[in-house]
Amino acid sequence: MYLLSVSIIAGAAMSYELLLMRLMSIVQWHHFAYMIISLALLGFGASGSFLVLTKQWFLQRLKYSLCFISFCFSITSILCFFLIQKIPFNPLELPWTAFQFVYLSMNYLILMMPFFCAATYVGLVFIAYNNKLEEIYFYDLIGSAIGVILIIFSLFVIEPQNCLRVVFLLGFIVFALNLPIVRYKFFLGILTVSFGVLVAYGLPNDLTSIDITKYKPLSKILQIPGNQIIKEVSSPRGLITVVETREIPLRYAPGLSIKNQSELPEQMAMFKDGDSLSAINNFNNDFSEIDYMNYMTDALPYYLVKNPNVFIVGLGGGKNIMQSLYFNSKKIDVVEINPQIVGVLKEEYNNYAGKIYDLSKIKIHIGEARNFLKHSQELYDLIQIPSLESYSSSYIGLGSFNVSHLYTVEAIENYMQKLEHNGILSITNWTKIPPRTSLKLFSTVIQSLEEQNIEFPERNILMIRSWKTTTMVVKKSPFTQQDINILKLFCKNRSFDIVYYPGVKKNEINRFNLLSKPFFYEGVTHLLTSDRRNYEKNYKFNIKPSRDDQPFFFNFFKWSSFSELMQLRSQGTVSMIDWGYIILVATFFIAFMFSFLFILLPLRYDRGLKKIHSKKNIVSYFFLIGLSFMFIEIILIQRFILFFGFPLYAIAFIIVTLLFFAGIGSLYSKRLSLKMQKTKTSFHAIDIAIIGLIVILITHVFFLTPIFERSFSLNWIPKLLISFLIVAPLAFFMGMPFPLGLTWIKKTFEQGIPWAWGINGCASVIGSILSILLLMHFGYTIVTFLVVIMYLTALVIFKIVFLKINNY
Amino acid sequence: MKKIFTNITIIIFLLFYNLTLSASSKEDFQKQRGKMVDTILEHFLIYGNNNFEISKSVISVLKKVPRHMFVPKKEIKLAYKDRPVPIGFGQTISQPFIVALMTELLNVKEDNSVLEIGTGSGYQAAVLAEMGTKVYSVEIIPELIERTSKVLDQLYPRIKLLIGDGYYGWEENAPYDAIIVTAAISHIPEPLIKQLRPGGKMVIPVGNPYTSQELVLIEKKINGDLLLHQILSVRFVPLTGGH
Repeated sequence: MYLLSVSIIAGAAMSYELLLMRLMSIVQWHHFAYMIISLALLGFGASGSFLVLTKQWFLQRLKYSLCFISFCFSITSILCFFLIQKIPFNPLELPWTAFQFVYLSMNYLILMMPFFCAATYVGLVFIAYNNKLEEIYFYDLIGSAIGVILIIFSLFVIEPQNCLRVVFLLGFIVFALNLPIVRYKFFLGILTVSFGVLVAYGLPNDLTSIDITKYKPLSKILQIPGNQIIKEVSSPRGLITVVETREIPLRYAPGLSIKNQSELPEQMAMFKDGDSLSAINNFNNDFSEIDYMNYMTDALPYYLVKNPNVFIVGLGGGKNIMQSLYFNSKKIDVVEINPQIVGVLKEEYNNYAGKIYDLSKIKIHIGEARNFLKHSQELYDLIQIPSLESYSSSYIGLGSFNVSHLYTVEAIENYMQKLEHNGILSITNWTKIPPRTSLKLFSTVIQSLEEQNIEFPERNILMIRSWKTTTMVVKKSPFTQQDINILKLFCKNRSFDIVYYPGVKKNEINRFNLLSKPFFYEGVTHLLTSDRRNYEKNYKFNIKPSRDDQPFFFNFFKWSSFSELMQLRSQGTVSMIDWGYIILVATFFIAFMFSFLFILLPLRYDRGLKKIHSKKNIVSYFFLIGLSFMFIEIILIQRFILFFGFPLYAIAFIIVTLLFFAGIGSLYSKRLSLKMQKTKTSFHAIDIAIIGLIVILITHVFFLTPIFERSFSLNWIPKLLISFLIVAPLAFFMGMPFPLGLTWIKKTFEQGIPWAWGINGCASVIGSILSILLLMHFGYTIVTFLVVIMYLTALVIFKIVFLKINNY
Repeated sequence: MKKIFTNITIIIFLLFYNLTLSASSKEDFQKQRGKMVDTILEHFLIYGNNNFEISKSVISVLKKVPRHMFVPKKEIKLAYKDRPVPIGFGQTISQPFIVALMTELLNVKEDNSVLEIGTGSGYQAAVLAEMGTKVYSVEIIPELIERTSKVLDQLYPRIKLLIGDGYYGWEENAPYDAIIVTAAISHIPEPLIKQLRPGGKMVIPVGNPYTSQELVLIEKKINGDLLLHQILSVRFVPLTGGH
């Protein structure tokens, strides 16, 4: 029974971890994902230290303890989520009050509690039944894997907030399994579980409700009289909400020209996770109804290529398709990664949108845009990428650590390869002042064109701006004088500003949307000189080209500008600081502080510690392998987000696969170690583990991208199979250094085992955040080589220090 | 009858509110206002955009308007701080410096008529009213205007309020010498441009309520042509070097 209970509680904890990521993305923004990985690890680490000090007490009353702990898990899983929504944490307040960091810490600490309970439960079972360690470990892993499947399935069929009830129930089942009763055990167990089902079902909605921050666009729009949600579709990929505006029209047309004279059609608002607003336009096949689309910066490419064959990245609310129809495009291919959005628009609002989705010239494909293009035989006259960043979060830089593979040097090359000879790539973004997005895009495009051996890249680019949007147009062949004349007229008739065209003169820029200095023009002209690298280096924001190896396009943060921006925040630089990055750094310090407080500090009270705490090598070894493990985990998650398309899928797959195969690796390491001792070679199991790891990691650096490219378009089953082949061998070797280190400690300083666990746990908590920060600064390749160095150092410590000292 | 009763309740509430504010706390608020103005002046002097100097009339108005009356009671400590203050409904009362800058940019004179889209806390409307202008303010959230009108009716009864869609402005009182749009908008509404008198000015803050330090100023020339200025409230040059 205890094995089953371990499976269930491990599954519940894993479900809770993934569920929290989903819920927090809805309540706040995406920035909580890595914090949740870190706090879950802290819960596990803290429970280890807690058990070192309290295990005797618990063991004396095992049944009651297990019963109590599982009950605590159940209760905290609901209560903690409820409580953190009561904490007035508001990332938008961060620039103005440092107290928000205290709220952030409180969030961290409270959300850790359910994980602490679950880990204490599993840890206690490990201690109580230490003769069956392998079995318990196996059931623990199986439970975690089932938990992932369960929560992914639940998120498809139940609203995310109600999935909390599922987690609560799982905890309650474990509670029932441990009831200290002797007679009628089965009957009473069933009765208790039934009671648990009733309680889970009957939990007041207030306890599980999602209180979306008032500063998200969905919350704001719902305050307007007459606006109401008419459709909600939820899945692990996200929450899609459609809002009908009955009394006051939506009128969403970002950056619309002041010269536009026509009324906007009736619109409905569509949101992803309460953010990323896009409009669904009502259309009755009368093009005058959508005349406004002719007065937006992204209409420019349709004047440069007539009746084009178009490829559009992302469906949004369907506006770009309508715009394309307005300009009489020959054929329109759209790639949308989220099937829910396609479902909602095609099935629910096709009539509202004038049945455009029934038109034979429009084809909607579900998939990842770059991958689709790579495998497509088609060449396009126009590839259009609308603004994919949420406006509300972009203004505070909350998306700074989101990976974006659509705006990299390599991505631009992919697009250009799929253009006809005179084809055009058009990318629209929000206008930010001083320019950041536009300049980073410009430098990325220039770099890409140079790498494609285009002799004069400056001849192939145009850029225009309104006060709200900037559109960059890149042509496969150089722009002609006729193109430039069209551009000038287009801008003049709409009061848009020219930023750049080949041969642009200073008196042609900054005419309608006046800036105190022509920031945009100055930026792009500098980026076209031979001094480009210097300019990028000295610019106050990070505008270096984004690459597949470092695809954080929306990260503009530079430490060198930070203090200046902070000093000036009252005078106007608040929106120039990437607060997503600051939250990440703050979370790193919170993780550091709490892991010290809850993992390492309690161990000082353990009697065994005094004997070994001077052994710096133990600390270094276990810290290095803990850090390396987390670095690899986060690198894999980041890379698989591109492969799977959705963060939650990538996180679920990587965590479970790593746990499972690292578990197998750790079991095998014991056997391998014994085997090698018998052969009496100087080669040790640790050599095999580390060499295996290094070989695979280096293979990943060179071969992961081509493997992904070849397998993008495969179905789920072969895709999963390939993913297992990529991750499993690495995970297998990753599972070995820790138990090998423990075996060594057991033989020398047995009482130091909790210390080793603690240090390792601490490194994992810190590593989950630190890895993202390092990836943002240095990219996958460098961080992977850093991991290689860390593993090699650990190997040296093991071989030279451990083995030499003990003649092991 | 009901209206009279409501008004009496409000008067009693305000009397009680004023009585509870001891003389010392009133002085305290005055002191805080003085400090607030000093900070604004400092921002304008040291970092403020070269093109804009704050006028004496705006300064004297900011010294008079009791900002603390426009923030929710629980945020009263923040009223005069150099930061935006949350007022509920996902909205804020703008940072004092930004209020000063927006008022300065509108360049209003006594008896000018001003349209405000997005009444919010009512503070900006109060500042404009204190400048001697006729203020017409439109707010879309009924609960918010209900709260704000209680304060404005007592302190600045000349301000005219309307619950509704600000997109179409307030045509019956048009044209306006100045328009200020504090509500989130994706584009500049054409009806507002029409309701702006030639020679008039319109100001729109950009971004979310906590970061709206970037402004768009629209000038309608005498011939009806429009000119947009994108204004950073910070003198943030040079963009390269310096570190």
